[in-house]
Amino acid sequence: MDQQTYNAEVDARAQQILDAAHAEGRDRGLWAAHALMPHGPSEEDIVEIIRGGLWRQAECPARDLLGGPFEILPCMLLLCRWEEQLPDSAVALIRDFMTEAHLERGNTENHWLMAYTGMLLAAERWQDAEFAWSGLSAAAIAAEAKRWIGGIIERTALQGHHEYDSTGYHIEHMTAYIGLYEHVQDDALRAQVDQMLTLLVADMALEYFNGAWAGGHSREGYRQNTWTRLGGIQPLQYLYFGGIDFDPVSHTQGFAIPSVVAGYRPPALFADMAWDRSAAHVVKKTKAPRTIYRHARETARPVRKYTYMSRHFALGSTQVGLPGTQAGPIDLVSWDLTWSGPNHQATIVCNHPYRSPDRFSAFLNGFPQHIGRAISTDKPYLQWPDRLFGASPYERMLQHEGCVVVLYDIPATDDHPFVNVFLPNGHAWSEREGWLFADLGTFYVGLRPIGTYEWMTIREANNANILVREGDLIDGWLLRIHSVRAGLVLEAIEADEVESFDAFCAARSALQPDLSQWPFNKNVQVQTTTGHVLDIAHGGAHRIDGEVVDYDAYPLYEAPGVEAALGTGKIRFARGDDAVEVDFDIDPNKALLPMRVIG
Amino acid sequence: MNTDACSAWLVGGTLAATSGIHVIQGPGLYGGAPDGAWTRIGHNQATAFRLLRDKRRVVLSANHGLYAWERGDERWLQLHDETLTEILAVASTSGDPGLIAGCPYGVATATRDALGAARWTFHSDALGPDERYTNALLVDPNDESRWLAGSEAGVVVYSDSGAHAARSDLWDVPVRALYYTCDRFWAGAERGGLFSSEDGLHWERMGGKIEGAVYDINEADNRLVAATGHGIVAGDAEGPWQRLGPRMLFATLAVDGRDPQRWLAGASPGGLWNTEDGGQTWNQLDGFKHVRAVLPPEEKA
Repeated sequence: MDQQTYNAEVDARAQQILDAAHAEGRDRGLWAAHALMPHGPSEEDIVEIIRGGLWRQAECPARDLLGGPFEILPCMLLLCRWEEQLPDSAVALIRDFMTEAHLERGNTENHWLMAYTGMLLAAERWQDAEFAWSGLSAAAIAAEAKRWIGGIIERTALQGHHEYDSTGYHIEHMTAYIGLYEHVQDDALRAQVDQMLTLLVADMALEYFNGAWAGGHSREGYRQNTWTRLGGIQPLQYLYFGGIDFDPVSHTQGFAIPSVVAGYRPPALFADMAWDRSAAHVVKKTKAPRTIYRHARETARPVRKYTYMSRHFALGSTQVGLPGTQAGPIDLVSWDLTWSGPNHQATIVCNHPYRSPDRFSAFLNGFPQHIGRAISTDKPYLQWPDRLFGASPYERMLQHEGCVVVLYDIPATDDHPFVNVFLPNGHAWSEREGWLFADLGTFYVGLRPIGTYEWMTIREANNANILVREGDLIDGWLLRIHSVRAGLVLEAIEADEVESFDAFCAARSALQPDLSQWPFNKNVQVQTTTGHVLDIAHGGAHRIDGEVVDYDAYPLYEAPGVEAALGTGKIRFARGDDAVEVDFDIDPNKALLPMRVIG
Repeated sequence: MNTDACSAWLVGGTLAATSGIHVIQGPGLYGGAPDGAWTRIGHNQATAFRLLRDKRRVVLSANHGLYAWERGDERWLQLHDETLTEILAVASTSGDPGLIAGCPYGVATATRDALGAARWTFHSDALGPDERYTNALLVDPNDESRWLAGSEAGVVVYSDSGAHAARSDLWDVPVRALYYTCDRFWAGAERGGLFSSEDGLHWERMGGKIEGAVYDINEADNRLVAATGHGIVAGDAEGPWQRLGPRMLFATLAVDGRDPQRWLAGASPGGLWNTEDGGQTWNQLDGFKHVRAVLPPEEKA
């Protein structure tokens, strides 16, 4: 598709989103008011939205307010885009807030990006203002923001995105960078932002699967990783890639509206890449090491992702690179099998629901003695035994194309000495020789739990307080493998690549995993029905067909048409005659911005 | 009501039950007196971890930034940059801005750039994560270029203004408090109680067992007093420690230099507690929910 045609399609979908947000009344917040502005809202309405977003219920001067990234960015984006249409009273409110309230950056990458973006836009706009929350000049505030934003872009170009591939938080990154792209006055920074957006859209496209984001995620919501399509990124997936039915709820989420109204258009070839299901292919990504600042003697290693994008399913896994037992962001999802279908009916995933207060204090500065209770007071599900997300420190995995082996070596003293496997409950399962099979129409899946399992149900509802009959958050089968040396072998294969479902079941169940060295030597070998051998030692080498997998050799991106050597800042995305090249022009001798946020 | 940052008691804490970026009004620094009202100093609403008062200013080290309330200026000035956050410890040194900061990412010092902003340089990048994570800082009173850091790994001794870092033998245990008195260094550990050292490198355990971690150390009337995970303890560092007051995680303990029987202790959670008889009786002061930093009034020369 040529860029002009693509832009026209995106324009149409953008208008569709904005119209729906307005028609559904979802345009009354600070983020989404961009959908209201073309309809001539009254001064009273605008002031109410701004006060609602920045003052909330408080009746006080701006200097008594506390503002964080979720106020700083949207108010500045609203001002920058609609300043000519905003009444003076609205502009004054935003200026008061940005200059007098106490503004804080938060502690995650998306927090700092949103905060520094809003602070930079304010400092550029009001160069003679006094910023009470800082005491520094506008020039100094702008310089700090540019150093951080420019630095995090360079880190990403060299080492991979830090808060990577998050269905929930990628939208905050996109909206902040698009806001900079549209409004920042510094041309050099704007050029880098443009290239950064290319990488972030590439991240979305390379693992796009019919409206879903396949593969591993640094953060994938809470209790939503059995959903097929999820997170705040959905509006931009629809906007940039189209191809699915418009959903007036999920595609009008507020965080995305400032991006939807913007003029930024990604290169058209990413939409083609996103929808290219012509042949199965592997996508590899390197992502920045996770931020772990205590309970660890070593720093984290880079994250390596491997996602097999087949025509009717996607299987993705992660080498998380974490340095110790307590190290691990709490909403990381390391692997899953994804296909097209309703929520809970198109995902298979497993997890050991590791919990420890030290896990929180590995990247949060609260006292270890209290942080377990403090965090679980706000988010009790982070320590629930049924948890399906969170990436246990005892988990190791090896994948080759449509087959993955996941092993757990859990201490017997662990609070949860078992592994949870989620299976959709809308399909008929069959069992042969310890393997469970499902005929999913266009493809087949077989999985072999390692360890004695119990077949249970899992239902969780967003507003449940008494009984849950249908879980809107999670609803399916739960196979609890009651073993501290649990594991799972899973193989998926396109239906037209085997003679029949029965033939696949017969072939798969005939090739039992070699467990003779498990758990004593911590080694498992699995032969795939396609003739490959996966050989994984828990805590040791990973081999495919006898060759050691060299994860350190992963480039920044590896996929058909993509050239992206790690550590260069030079990336080329090509498809047919179309190509997009970015060169961040990074001095290899320049020290990287220190990483001071989690993600 | 005394809200002068020099002559008032200063308390960094929350008057609400929560803190962080998702609230409309945050904690901040409050000035006042135990028997009076507390008023916020300026409009800073940061979550305080440590307070420092020197001849130039009051320094507030906080969850998301580092700030100074300069004498005579009556406004907060940002001292952090894009490399410094979650400042758990701070100490005075010479120069401008004349501070050493400790945070989960290590130990850093700053200079001013042409725009007047503090720009931080970290001296701990070669260390491991636990060694970098700094809970407490102390400048050697005999050598300003030598700093002790209470880290998650133990006491790290920085020399030559951060050019070198060495492990002490108080190791493999998080150290959360450092203090200097009687020509000795003192350290409060996560486990094992209170330790002392002449040189900062070689430590010995002092006094009896202390239940829980030690978060702060002070002295009053020739006794050492410490804030611990299970209340306040006091003693002579040779015999057993006497536990005083309510059982809770006290993060800080300040002693009034003009009246060593008056202490204010901050708990998180638990709020602000006052004793006027050297820890025999305690009263909770209304309002505060979490307190991690308290400074007594400045002692006039």
